[in-house]
Amino acid sequence: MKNLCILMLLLIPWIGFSQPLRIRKNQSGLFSMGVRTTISAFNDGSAKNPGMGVGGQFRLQASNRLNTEWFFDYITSPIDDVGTRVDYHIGWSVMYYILKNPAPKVRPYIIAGHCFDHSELKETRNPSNKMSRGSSAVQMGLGCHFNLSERLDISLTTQYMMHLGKDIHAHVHEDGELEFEKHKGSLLEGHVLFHVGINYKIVDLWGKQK
Amino acid sequence: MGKTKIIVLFAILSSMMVSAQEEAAVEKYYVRPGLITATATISPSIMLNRNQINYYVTGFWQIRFDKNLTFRGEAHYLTGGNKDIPYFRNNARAHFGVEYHKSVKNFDSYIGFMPGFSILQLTDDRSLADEQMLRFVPTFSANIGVTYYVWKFFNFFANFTYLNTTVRGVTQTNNRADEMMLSLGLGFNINAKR
Repeated sequence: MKNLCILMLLLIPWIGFSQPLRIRKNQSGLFSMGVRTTISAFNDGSAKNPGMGVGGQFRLQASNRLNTEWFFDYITSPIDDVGTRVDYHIGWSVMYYILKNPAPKVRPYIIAGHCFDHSELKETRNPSNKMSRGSSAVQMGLGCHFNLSERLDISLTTQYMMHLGKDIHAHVHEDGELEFEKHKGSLLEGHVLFHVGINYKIVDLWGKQK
Repeated sequence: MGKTKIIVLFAILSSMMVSAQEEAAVEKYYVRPGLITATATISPSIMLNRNQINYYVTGFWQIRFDKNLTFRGEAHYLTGGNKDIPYFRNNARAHFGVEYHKSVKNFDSYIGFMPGFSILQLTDDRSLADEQMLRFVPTFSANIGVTYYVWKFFNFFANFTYLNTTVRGVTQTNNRADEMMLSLGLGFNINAKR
């Protein structure tokens, strides 16, 4: 019971968020945070298996029609039944809202940005057979906020992420042998990402707080 | 005391009575912004991709920040199952997301989505190295449930949760470990806003 009371006390500050959102003039300065699930539709190489990941983001809005998103994703994908690929993404994107209305129920946007990424490929039966690389990437796509309240939105985003560094991918041969390849130079290598995110507007950072 | 004064006094008292009734109505209905709910219970789950039942100690909290919306956090800790050789040797899971509610007086129903992760170990891991390695696995859950608030501090709840889990880096052909979990029991609630 004591622990429950402590938990309740810790949760009370969150109730402050249920206050109406005070914004100064426009949506510039709105700071929000959230979590998201990511699906990676395919990877390069002979094993193009989809993967799934978890991540989070915060957003800082620049104007009524321009927002910035700062994110981290951790994605795992199978390499057929013989290996695993893990991708870490940390980066930022700019979101341009297509509609002028700053607070519609549905708000579509164009998104583009840059990220740093680290990829690890590993064979399951022989973990010493592995390959990794760090690189940067650019991503671009389309998305849509579904505003469930003044402060909360669920966002669906689809984007193509193109890696700019060395390309690594896996080949699974007919005998089951797993081979990793690394190519120098940037190719059109990447993946399609789908994000389902939940985001909560916390405060207008440029606005006067009373 | 003049007749006019008596009428004025009666009018003032009447308005106070109405106000008292409104306050009583607010007190009677506990489902409103500011409501914090938390509980812990033991929850059985059926594994959808293998013939197995797991038992978890489950804890969750909810904060209603809008008329129809709450934040929800969940934590699950595996305590056992109905098999001698269970699929999971250990499993601890945390999820955070949002719920959409429909309420009628003190009866509340909800549906939600929560991204999260599991930290788990498999029992039957035939990987040649790192036999019992601890894995960080991205997961997500979707849930649906009902709550009846019986008093300002207690409620009864029933909740179904679908848990999506895919374990990578295993030599088994079926690495899906989805579960359907049932939680019910007594919950605690407090309203932080009047």
